[in-house]
Amino acid sequence: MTAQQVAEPPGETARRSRGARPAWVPLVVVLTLVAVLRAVDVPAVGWLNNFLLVYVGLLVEAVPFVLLGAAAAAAIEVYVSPEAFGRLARAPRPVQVAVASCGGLVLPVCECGSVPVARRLLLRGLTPAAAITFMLAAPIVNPVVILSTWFAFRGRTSEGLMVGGRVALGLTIAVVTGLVMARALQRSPVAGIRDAVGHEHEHGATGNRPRLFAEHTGAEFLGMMKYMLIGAGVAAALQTFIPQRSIDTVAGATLLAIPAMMAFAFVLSLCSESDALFIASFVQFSPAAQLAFLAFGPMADTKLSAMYVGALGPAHARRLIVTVTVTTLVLCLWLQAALVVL
Amino acid sequence: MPFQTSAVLASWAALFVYLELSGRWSEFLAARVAWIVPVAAVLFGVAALGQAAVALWGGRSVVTWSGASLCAAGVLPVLLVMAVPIDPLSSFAADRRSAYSSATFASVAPPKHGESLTFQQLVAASASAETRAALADRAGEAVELVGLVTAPDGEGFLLTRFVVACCVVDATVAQVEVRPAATGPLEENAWVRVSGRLALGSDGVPRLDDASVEAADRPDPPYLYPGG
Repeated sequence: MTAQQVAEPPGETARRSRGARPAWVPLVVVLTLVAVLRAVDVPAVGWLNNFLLVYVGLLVEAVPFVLLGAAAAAAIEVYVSPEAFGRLARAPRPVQVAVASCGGLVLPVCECGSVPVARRLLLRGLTPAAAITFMLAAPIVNPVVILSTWFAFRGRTSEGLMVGGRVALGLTIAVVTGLVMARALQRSPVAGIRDAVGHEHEHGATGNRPRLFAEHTGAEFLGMMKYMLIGAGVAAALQTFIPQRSIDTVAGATLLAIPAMMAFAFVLSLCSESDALFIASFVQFSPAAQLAFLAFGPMADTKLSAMYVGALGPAHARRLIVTVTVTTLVLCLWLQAALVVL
Repeated sequence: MPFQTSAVLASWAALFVYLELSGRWSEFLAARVAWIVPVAAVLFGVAALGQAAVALWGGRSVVTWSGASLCAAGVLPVLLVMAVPIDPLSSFAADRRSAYSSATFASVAPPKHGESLTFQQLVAASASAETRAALADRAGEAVELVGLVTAPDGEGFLLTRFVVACCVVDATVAQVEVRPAATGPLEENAWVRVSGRLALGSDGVPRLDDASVEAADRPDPPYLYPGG
C-alpha cells in the first residue's frame, strides 16, 4: 500500500472501476467558475469581492504553514525510528503529556501546522493524551505567539496577566482536553489511523527515504488541504455576512461577554500569531473575555474544525471541540470571578 | 497521484512568485509577514519538484475522481488571484469590521510639534486622552491624508483606511470625518487625497474641515499597519 492509497477514500476504487465520472470534469468546473467570475465585475459586488478577498487572504497566509506541517509530519514518519517512538511511548503518561504541552517551544508551529504533526504523532504510537495536548498547546505555548501577545498588550496594566494568562490557560485547556480525548481515542480509535500505522511502519523500514518523505509530504498536504479549503470558505462567508461590530453589544454583560468572545474567535479563524494584535483593540471587554478569545481561537475555529474532522473523524472532532469549549468557558468564568474579587 | 499533487504544489509556487514579483502580496498580507511570500515560493517549488520526481519514479498512476476534484479545488484559489480582478477591502467591509483603536498598539505615539500628522494619530484620538491633548494644540493646522470615500452624505464623508496586523482577515477600520469646502458628488469607494484644516469636535475627536478633495491613485500598500 502506498501513501497515496491511504489518502484515497474507501469506495473510490469501486467508483473508478465503474468509470461513472470522468476525472477531467472537476477541472472544467473550476475553469468555468473562474470564467464566470471574470465576466462578473467582482469589485462592484461588495459581498462577493469581500468573500473572495478574505478567502484568498486566509489561504495565502495559512497554506504555507500547512505545507510545513505536512513536511514535519512526513519527517517524523520517515526519519524518526520506530524505536525512538517506542521509548517515548513507554514513558509514563504524565511525562509524555508534560513534554508534549511544551513541544511548541522547540517546534513552534501555528494551528494549521500542528494538526498534521499531531496526527502523525498519533500514528507513530505516542499516547493520544500527549498527541492531542501537543496539537492544542503548540499554537499558544510557542515563542512567536508569546512575543506577539506581549507586543500587543505591552504598556498596559494587564500586560502580565494577558501574556501569563494566555500561556496558563492554553496549557490547562490542552492538558484537560488531551486527557479527555485519550479515553475516547482508546475506546474507539480512528479507523483510518489504525490502518495506516501498520503499513507505514513497513515503509519506514524498507523504503527509499527521500522518496517516502516526498510521498508522505504530498499525501499529508493534500489530505489537510481539503479541509483547509472548506474551513477557509466557511470562515470567509461568516466574515462577510456577520458584522463584527455586533459583538460590541455584549461587551458590558459579564456572563455573555466570554461566550461571545469565544464565538467571535471561532468565526474569525485568525492565526494565533496575529490574534492578540486584533483583540487588544477590544478594550471594552474584560481581560477574562479577551483571554477567552486568545485561548479558544487557536484551539477551535472554523478552519480548524474542518481540519479536525479530516484528522480525527467527525465524532472525535466534535468531542474535542465540545471539551475545549466547556473547559475554556469554565476557566474564563472562574478567572472573571477571581479578578472581580481581587 | 504524485503528478496531480505536483501540479497543485507548482501552481501555489507560481502564485507566490507572482505575488512577489507583482507586489500584490500587499493586498492580502501585512508587511511584517511579507517574508512568507518568497519563502513559500521556494518551499512550494521544492515540494513540487519532489512530487514530480516521485511521479517519474513511480510510473503511470490512475487519476481518480476524488483526486481530480481535490486538485481542482486546490488550484482554484491560485486562479482566483491570478485571473479574477479582486479589489482590496472597501466600504462593504468598513460597514462590518471592528473599529481600529489606538489602544491596540502602544507604539502609536502622540503627534509631536513639527511632525506631519498621520492617519493613525488622528484616529487614535478617540481612545487616547494624551493624543487628544496633543491634537488640541494643533487645531487649525493643515493636514493632508489619502483614503477611501465611505458613507458620503450632504455634509461630508468618512475618509477610511484599513489597519492590517497580519492579513486581511484581521483588518480593522480607521476613519476620519471630512467636511469638504465645496459640496459635490463623491463616489463611494473612490481613493481621494484630502487637504483640510484640523478641527476637534466637542468630544475631542478630530475631523478635517474646509477640505479640498481630489482623486488619488490607490496607495501601495493599500492598508495601514499597526503603529505605522
